[in-house]
Amino acid sequence: MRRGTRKPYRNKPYQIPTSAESYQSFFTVEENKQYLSDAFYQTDDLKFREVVLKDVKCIICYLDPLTSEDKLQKTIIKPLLERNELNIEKIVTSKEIRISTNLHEAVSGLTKGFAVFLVDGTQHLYILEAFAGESRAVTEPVNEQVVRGSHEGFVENIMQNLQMLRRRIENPNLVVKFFKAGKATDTKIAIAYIQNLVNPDLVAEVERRINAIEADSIQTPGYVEEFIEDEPFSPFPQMLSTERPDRLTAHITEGRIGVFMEGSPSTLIMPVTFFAFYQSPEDYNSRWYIGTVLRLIRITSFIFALALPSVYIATVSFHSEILPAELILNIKSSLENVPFPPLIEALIMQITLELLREAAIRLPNPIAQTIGIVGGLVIGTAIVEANLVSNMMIIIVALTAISSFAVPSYEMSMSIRLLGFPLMLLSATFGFIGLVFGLSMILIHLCGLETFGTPYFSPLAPFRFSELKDSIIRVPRWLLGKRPIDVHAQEQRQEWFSRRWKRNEDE
Amino acid sequence: MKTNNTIHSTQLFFIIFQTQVGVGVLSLPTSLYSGAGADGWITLILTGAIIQGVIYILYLLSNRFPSSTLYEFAPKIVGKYIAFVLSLLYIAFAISTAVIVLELFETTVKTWVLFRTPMLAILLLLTLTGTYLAVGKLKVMGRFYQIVSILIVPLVIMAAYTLKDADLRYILPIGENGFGTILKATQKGIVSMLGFEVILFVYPYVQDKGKAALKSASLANLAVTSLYAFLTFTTYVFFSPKQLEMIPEPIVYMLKGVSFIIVDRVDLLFLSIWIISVMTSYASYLYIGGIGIQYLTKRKKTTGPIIIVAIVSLILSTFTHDRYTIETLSSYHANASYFFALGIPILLWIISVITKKKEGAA
Repeated sequence: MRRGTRKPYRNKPYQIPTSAESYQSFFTVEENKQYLSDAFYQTDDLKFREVVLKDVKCIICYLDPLTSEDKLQKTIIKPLLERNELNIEKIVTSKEIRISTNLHEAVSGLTKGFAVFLVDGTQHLYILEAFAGESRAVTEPVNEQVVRGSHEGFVENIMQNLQMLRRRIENPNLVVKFFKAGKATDTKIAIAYIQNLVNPDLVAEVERRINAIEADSIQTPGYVEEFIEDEPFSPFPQMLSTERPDRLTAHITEGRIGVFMEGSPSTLIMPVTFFAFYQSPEDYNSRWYIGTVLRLIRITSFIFALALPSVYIATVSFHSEILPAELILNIKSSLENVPFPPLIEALIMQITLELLREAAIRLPNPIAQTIGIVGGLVIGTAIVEANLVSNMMIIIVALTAISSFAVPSYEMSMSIRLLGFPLMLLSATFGFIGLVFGLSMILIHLCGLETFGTPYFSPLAPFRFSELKDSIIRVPRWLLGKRPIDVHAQEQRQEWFSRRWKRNEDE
Repeated sequence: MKTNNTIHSTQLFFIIFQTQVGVGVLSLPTSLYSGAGADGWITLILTGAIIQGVIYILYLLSNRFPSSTLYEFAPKIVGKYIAFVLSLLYIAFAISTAVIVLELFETTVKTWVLFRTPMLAILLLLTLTGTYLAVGKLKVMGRFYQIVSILIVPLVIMAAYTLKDADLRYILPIGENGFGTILKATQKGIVSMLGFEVILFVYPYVQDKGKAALKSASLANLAVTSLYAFLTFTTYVFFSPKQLEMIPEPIVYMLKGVSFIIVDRVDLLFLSIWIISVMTSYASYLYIGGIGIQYLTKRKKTTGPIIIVAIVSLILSTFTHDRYTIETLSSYHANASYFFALGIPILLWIISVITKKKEGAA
């Protein structure tokens, strides 16, 4: 499990006790009860309920918040009391029954929502499933809405998420593997992939990296992402995070791996390329021309969001002669009364915008709208009238912001906006020369970046002409006969002449 | 879990192409003009033909040792000690080429775009970016060179746009200076076409060796020759012979005069694209120097050696930078490059053929 010859870390007292060594249970209920109570340090939500079956004292022990009252009554207490027998295995109708003589196992079962049934005079502990699996209702993810297509979104319950996936891929080859990570939280992580399609090396690599995680807690998929990604210092997200089951399904059927985490509706997809962040499931719901145009618009939005302010800064502060006279007169006249150099102007506007965005994101909707109006209209107009920022700069920054919001993935949009700042600095210092070098740096980085053995900027670098048809543009589905080559799926073909009916039509 | 550090033969094409296209392109028309007059563009085509022959020999040499670079196979051909000296010379050559690229870049940028920016800042920009590119190893260079090569298209379109003001009479009569002069001027052409020798250092990393690699190298040479001949031709039909004698960088001058719809100074766009070509050539030479040092010092990684080469060339390039010194340096470098790109490889090939030295059959 662990690489190298490093000694395993010993668990600290506050971490989850390793159940490697077992602790033999006692013969009397009272002793067992005492042990369990001590194991939980007399926590108040650990409940004990005594039942007497055939004059034998029994105790049902459970963690109140984790267990479902309904299940506890219907599947355990009611049958037992009605039949009044000690033949527990036969009577209890729980989904899962484990019998153990190890008190450690009972403790870890209790933390997972099991009830432990103790019977006086025997060492056997019955560990019975009574888990309360409530989760919120399935809703459409707020940050990945579509006009047409599925409006289903993942929820915080991993089992329900897996159910949504299984419903979409009704295939015995769909394999789910569970991992436990987090020494203090013991969080459930699951990976899902299609056996016989996915590259086995990829699965092994993902498993190896997840198993290497040694941390107290795993709160969000972001933790997992940072622990297992290839280049932690890259500004680009290297795993696609989505809350949409249809998006995950599409990627899994292309031979990729999805990672679920208990307690989070976002799932991670790997390996992905840069262009996966610019695709939306919606592309396949509209006519393919429209899908293509939408994708091209998004690629343009990438360039705008990245470089538009820098190009403007470089032009007005270094190379205003590049523009024709009429245009430059317009720009210069709007700049005339502004006391700041273009870089400062741009920074003021960009920072104001980021502030507005950050402020609005956490506010309830009606207030957020107010902020939008105050920020967009009031500040926008006032800042120009106060001659702090020029009209042109407002246009540029607004265009940049709109472009960055056109990216279907939130992380990518943030990364690009952040990358814009060093570019602005470079073009304010060196003009076009600086801008070209800055963009080259980003491009070199993109060319060199690899995630899970897949070149990140494929199919542009390395250049694969045939794969442009599902990355830059979108051709009709029946022309996408093959899966992307970089995933290294075991089977390349994914479509077999679905329009062959057309050939027979003339007869 | 990384992909292999190999390149496809298509990427070999772009590596050779981008290494060849570099700083020289701006001053090429003038230097050819001083040699062969208005027939300079014919000279270029001849140069391309000569280089094609050299490329074939380089290919034959590399193909005798398909899994080693020049640094690795030289000892097998001429013995340990001579090979050591040769490797040192090649490293020195790579560093001096990098220095020349840096200096020419700096003077051009200073002349055309950034008049008052400190020299070191401009040099640092190129050094940092070039080093970052070169340490990414060959696969990253291959991918990057391939993707930026698309920028050559707008470059050609810009130059082609000036043809509307062309006057064909400037280059007539064709061949007025006689074949001898044209042939003699090829030595001026070869200097700016240098870079094809990179094949000696990247060949072991090519996936499909043999005919496909030769085809890539030849096509790269053809592409460079056509591009240069075209650019030279456009300047020759744009400027009168009198003007050409006076203008040091005619392509930029030419583009300064034209304007597209909303772009009044096309030369700035041209120079911005040209920078990338300079960067790629520079990175290639850093790489050549770097793997040499890596081989001689028996290191595992190329990162350290490449950074050393970059720092050394940066320091050297800060010493001299008036136009005269650069020109003298360039001419020394040009003479030296005949040995490194033509003489030594051909000699090595002849020796290896005579002594029947090949990989495996040592």
